[in-house]
Amino acid sequence: MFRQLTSTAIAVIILALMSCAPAGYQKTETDTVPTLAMATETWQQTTTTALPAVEDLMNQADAQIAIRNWDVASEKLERALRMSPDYAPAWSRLSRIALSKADPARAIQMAKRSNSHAGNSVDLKLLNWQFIRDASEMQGDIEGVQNANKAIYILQNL
Amino acid sequence: MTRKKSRKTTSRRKPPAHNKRKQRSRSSKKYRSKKRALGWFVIASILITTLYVIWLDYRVVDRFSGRLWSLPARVYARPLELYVGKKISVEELLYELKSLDYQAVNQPPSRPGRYHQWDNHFEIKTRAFRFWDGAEESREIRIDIHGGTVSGLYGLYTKEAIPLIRLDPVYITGIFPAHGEDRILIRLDDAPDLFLQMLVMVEDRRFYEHIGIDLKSIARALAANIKAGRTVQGGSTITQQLVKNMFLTADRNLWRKMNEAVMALLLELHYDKDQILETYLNEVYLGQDNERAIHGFGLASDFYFGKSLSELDLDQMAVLVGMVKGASFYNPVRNPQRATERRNTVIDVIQSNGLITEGQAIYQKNRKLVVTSRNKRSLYPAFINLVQRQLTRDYDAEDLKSEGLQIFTTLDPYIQRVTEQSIRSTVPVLDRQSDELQAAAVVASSDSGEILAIVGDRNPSFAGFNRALDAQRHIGSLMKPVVYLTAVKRKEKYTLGSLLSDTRLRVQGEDKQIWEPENYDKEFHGDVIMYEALLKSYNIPAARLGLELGLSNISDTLRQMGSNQILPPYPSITLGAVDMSPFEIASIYQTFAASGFHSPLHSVRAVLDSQGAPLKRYELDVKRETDPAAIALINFVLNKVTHSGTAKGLSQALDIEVAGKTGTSDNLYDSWFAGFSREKVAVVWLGFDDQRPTGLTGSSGAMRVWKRIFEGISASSINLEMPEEINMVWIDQPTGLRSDKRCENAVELPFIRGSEPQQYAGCETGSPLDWLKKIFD
Repeated sequence: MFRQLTSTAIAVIILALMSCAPAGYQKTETDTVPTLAMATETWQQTTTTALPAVEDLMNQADAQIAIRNWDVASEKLERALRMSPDYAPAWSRLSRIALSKADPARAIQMAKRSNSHAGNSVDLKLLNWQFIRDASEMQGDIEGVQNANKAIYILQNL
Repeated sequence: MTRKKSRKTTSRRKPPAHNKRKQRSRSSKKYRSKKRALGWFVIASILITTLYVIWLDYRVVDRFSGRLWSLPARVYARPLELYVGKKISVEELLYELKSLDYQAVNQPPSRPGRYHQWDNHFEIKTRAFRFWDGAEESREIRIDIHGGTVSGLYGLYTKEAIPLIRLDPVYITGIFPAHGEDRILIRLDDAPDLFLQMLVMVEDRRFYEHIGIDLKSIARALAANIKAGRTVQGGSTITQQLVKNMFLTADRNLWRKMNEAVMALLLELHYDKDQILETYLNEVYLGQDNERAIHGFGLASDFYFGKSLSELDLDQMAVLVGMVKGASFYNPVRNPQRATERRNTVIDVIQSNGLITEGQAIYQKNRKLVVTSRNKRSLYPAFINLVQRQLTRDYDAEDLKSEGLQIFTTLDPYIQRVTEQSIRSTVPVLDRQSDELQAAAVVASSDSGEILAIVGDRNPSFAGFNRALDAQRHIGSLMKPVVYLTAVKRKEKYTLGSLLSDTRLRVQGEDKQIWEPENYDKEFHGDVIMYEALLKSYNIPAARLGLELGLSNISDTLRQMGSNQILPPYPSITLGAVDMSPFEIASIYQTFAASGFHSPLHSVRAVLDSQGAPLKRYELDVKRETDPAAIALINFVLNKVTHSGTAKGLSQALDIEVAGKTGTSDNLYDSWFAGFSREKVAVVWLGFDDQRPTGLTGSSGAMRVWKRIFEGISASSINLEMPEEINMVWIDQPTGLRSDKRCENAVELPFIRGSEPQQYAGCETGSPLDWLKKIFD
């Protein structure tokens, strides 16, 4: 019940802020692509309940991400998702990996998937929207960038 | 003759002196010419022999320096991952261990590939295995299962909690040439010392001393054969046997024996004993599995005993070593008595040579010969068929049969088994008369689209027409959720509370034909809300709505959900008069099951080369997104369908919340059920190949198979929590207007925020009492 109320409250705030967000929001100099270290910190701080096995695989995946061994990291993450398909930080990591592999379409889908399971994890959602913005930029999708920037603005001002 | 003639001539006239000289000179010339000819002959012989030997040498070196064998691809099921919280029954784990040929023992396992089980507890020594993302070491573990879930996982001796264990994957089959050799390559180091000593002792005692041929052995064999008056003993060394197997025919003639000897010498000249022995281990012929020839001890050990060579017991090693003398004659499956006698002979040989004691020999000879019970034939023809189709997009067919690729698939052997059993046990009951009712089923992971099981025939092991992939049948009402999804994506116009007209409908198609759909109950129901129309699978409202939406929009929704169909422009497609395969339906329903995220169905996770180096990984893919809120509305109804709709009672019977849709085509030609739990989506089809009426609806036919599958596998409830942008609102069913939950005919339905009806139905009085009740409710 409390969770539902919180979700509803956040949704209402988001809608309210969306209506206040500047329509033609442009990327400013302060907007930065999240570094791997920053992203990893967010992933690890996202306190979504995880099975010990999933946590173990996340640690293994982070070790591989740190050395940019994307394929092995992806495999670890996919193993985790087979166990726990709703585990939002794993989808988010896959999004970041797709960005690094210059696969923006996949990055966007993975980030959206992560957001669909992110619940109240504002930081994770923010990170995912940053991935979506960067991926949209890669695709030359101006509307996508603007939408992402809107969402980022809203989440940053929550 | 010439000399006689010459004498006659001499008697008649005396030759002059110079003639004598001439004659001497001529004889001398002849002699020299003969000598020269002989010389040339010798030189030519030496030259030819040398060239021949060089050619033989070239053959030996060429073969050994290149790839020695064509290796069929090896196909594996998904590896079972065990962790605390994993849903798995004791039966399921036992089945996996049996499929892996793990040996049950009565004490804590001391060797890889063994387990000890009592009640809900397992002690397992796992096998080491190399996967795409790294190697798994062999580990000794203890697993406790309670309530169908792993409740404890820790080191058998360390007692430390282990987060995750991955068992080696079950080998499913190979992809062979039509009449081909199969082998599992092993290195010399992989073979136990005891085995190597046994092999050398029995086959070629002086292997490490001779130079490829062993004159002593030949002499001994010759004497034995002369004494017996027939061939009773061979003098071939291991090197000669290898040469014979690799280069020569099985003919028993002198020329072949000479070639064999020369090539054996050459082989020993170029390669050391270890290289020769290792090649022999992998080359030797050890039986036949229909068209597949079993070569090498690596495969033979797996084929006959279900384990690796390093895991064999001494008596099992002796069986394999004994088979070298005659793989067919001493075959332990077909001729267990002979194989046992030969095994005992081998044991006697090693005992007399001091490798084991007399006591050990007696013990080993008394052991019962047990071969693996695993079915040697390809178990899952429909699945393998799918794997081959997927792989041939990326690999040359010849490479699959020769490069020794390791294919890691998504198959879950237990789910496959349950699916097969569900079909085997249910279909004959549904078709008592003809025995011709056909079946197909696809089970996939909801989130990733991985195919977990697939059956293409009522006899699942029949490798014929794969109906799961290739049967194109009318899908009937399975189309309706797609039609309604197309509608609710336009939230401003359509909601689950929208009123739809269920009255006579006559439509003229492009072909001028009149189409007049009917409901299954042949009744008209007047105005019904969308929720009820889908719940009860009414035809007319769906058809009318579909036409209103436009067939091209329905086509777009289908494509978004993973279909490749180009729909014909007939109004009847709104009611599923379109041909699709069970696989395609599973693809579409996967999108429902994954809340709108479509992942293409696939059967292969990764491919490694013969040395275990990663070649290709088929990564988890999310193709496109269908509005998750709209999907949530349809899934809500599909769940209700399993409570009070056409699949009434299904969720209660399974004791978990599932969602699904029945499908029945015109004249009851096809019976379908497509549905999903939290993590699995499955589609079942039943019908006759010649399009006869089955007498079955979706719920009386396919749903029974579907239910049985889900009764047998681990599954959990779908997520009934609605997304943030959805509000639950009470609706008056007859009018589709807002209602109070206490009103008669009130039903609580999800609405995308902002699409809820504002007007209240008559049940609301607006009295202060109502207002107070509302607050307390």
